[in-house]
Amino acid sequence: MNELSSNQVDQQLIQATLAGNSEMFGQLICKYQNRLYTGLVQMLRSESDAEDVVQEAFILAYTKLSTFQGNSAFFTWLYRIGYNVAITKLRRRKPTVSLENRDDDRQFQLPGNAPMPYADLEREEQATQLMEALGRLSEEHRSILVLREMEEMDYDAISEILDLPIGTVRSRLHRARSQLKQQLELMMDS
Amino acid sequence: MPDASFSENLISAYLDGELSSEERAQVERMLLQHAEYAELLEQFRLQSAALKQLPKLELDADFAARVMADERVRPPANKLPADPIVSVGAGRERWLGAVAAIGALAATILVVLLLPFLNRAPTDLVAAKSSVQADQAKPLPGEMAAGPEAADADDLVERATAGAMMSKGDFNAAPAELAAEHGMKKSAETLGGEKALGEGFEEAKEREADALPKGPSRRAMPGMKESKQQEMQQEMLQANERLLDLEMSEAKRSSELADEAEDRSEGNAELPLERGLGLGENASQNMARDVEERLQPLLVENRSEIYGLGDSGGPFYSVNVLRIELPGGQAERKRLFELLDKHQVALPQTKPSDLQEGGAEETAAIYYVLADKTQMTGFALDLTKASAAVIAMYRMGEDNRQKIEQYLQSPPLKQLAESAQSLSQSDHAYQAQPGGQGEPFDRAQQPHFRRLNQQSIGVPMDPIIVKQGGVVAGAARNVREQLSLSQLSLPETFGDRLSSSAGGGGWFKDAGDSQNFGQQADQQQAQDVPAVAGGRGRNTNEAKGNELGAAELNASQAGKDKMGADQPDVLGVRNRPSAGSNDRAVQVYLLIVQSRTTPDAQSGEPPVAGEQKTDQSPGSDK
Repeated sequence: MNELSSNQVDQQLIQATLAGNSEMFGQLICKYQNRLYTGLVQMLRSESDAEDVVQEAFILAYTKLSTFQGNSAFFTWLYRIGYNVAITKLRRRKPTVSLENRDDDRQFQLPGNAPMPYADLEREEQATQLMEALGRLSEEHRSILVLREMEEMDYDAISEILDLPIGTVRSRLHRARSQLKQQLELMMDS
Repeated sequence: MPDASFSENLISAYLDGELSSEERAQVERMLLQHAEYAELLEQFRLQSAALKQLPKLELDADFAARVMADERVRPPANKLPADPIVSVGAGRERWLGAVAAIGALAATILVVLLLPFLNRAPTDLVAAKSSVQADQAKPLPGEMAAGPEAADADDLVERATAGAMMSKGDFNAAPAELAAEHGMKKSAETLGGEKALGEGFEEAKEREADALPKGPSRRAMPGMKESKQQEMQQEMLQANERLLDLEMSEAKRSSELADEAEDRSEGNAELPLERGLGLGENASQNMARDVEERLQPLLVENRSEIYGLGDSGGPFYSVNVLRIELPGGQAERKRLFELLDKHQVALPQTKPSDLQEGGAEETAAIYYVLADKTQMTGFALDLTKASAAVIAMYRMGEDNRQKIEQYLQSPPLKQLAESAQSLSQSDHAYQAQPGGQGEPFDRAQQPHFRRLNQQSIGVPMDPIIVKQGGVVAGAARNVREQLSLSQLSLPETFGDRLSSSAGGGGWFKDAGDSQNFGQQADQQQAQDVPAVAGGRGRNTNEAKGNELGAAELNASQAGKDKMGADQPDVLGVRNRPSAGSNDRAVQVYLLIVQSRTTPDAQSGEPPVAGEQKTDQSPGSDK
């Protein structure tokens, strides 16, 4: 299914939802939940937080569905909502980083219950290192890398989600990649 | 040598295929000429490939069903749940006036406390009272419904948080219906459609101020038709929808403000208090200036919240929040807190006609919160939410109403309610006794009243010290377990702010102390330490007056070591900055929480003396 037809399907589901068939919204959830969740886990470094945010994002999207104008892909719009909710969560989490347990519950780990899709330990270790390096980046660098590399969004979509000019997307993405490269090199050295 | 006009950013964009043909040609030229660029591109390419191969995570299979089961997604039978505040007894209107007066007086007391710092002549006090009372003359939330005056933009910011909570509970209609009934299209237009979620908060806020219904009703107007009430409720829903949008951008804005504040405060770290207050070195020359103008840097917030938690005669709370901001160093901050401790901020003996109708009983407590300014911007939202959480949930509908009732039946609050009832009955019994009428009755001196004052927060709210990026919070770790907060849909951190039974406590010197808070509080309660939590009873320090001289300041500082168990906990909960606090600007919140219960709400009559047990006499400690 190409992108265009995917958008058309989304539009049909949206129209049906707006017409009162809320079950159709469930299909949109099924379609995008894991994609959104994966991105937000990377951003929030917490699976439980990400799940909360995804849930909240879908609920917000539902309640605001009539404001969706179709100028962008539904997922882009949804991701933007999720991103905003996640940012809100991150901002509120900051002050409550306790004197106790300062980092304990913030450590991101590879999903324990999900089998690693790597055939050998070397790859698994590489993925772990990559995630660790990703976790050391600032939130803004991590977010933009996730959007580009994992979500494979183009600059226009990234610009819309992050509310940044295209030029800023370009320069920030370059800095993020450079930072990630630097972090990986540091980890290799150590 | 690379072309000076060449930007490495282009390499990244080249990898992503996001360049124009001209730029692409330029990059390819540079790649051929400079091996380091080619190497960089290759590293980015490998990195990108590795990131794309990171595991895709999956949510549970029933996730979609869980979302769809949320009450905000389900089309409900009743889209406009009745606002429980509507049912607050009409007789409370008069009490609101008393609350406003109390708030004004507390603000005045605040001024009095700070006057020594301000180097003011005592005669300025009169003007200061007028000034602050003028601020307090702003309509209370309940009064807003009656008047055409709009809530100002700052009110909108405050309501953005509570409004968001309410709106979540009110999102019960299908989107199409919401769009039609709540003016979604208009909202989208107003906020720029899809762009609205991320646009500038201030601009959106200004538009909200224009678009919002003026003075949305939180209380029913006597004689108002049901259709009118529904219309107003719809307006509120519409407003809340848009406020939810604002909240999203608000977090971003708050963070920016916090950063700015940090920058400023670092520069002002060692400013003396007087200078920080805007008086500067020429303080004496400034004494003739208008008091209000000089207070402006101090009093950054002064507002009231009224909460009703019962259909008729249930607990009824008001919270006055006075927020002042104090730049300055640690020494000045310490002086302020010693003053606050030394001089109990007493609430007035409000007129019995205002407070005693229907056998009502009222309590009051003043709490203060010290917060690092850099952490306060975001945290203040939580703080205000902490007080608003219960009422906001209560407004959500029947389901949450039941949860609130469950919460109110939880052991600590039940004990509080019983204590309030016992106190009220004993008070009435005392007054009904021969000779009891007209005799001076200082309830603040009654042990059970003191205890009640200690416990008088019915709306969960707990002073919190935020320092150096961490929260040194007190109470209620055990309470949290008792209440099973997860069942109440409360935020995860909510339990840390609960303070139902912890009326006292030791100083928090570090995180370890805070962990012992509950235990200390229990011990203090067991010893029945004569602590008066800022109640409306007579202040033991009142006789000293409110003017603080330099000698008293020195005495206060000299006596700081005695501020332990033998010292009255004059502000209800004894929190203060640790010696390790930084010297950044601080914001101090004074929270005046009043609760009012009507134990015999049905009849509205106090019980007769013969019905009272002897152990409930005013002198009893039971």
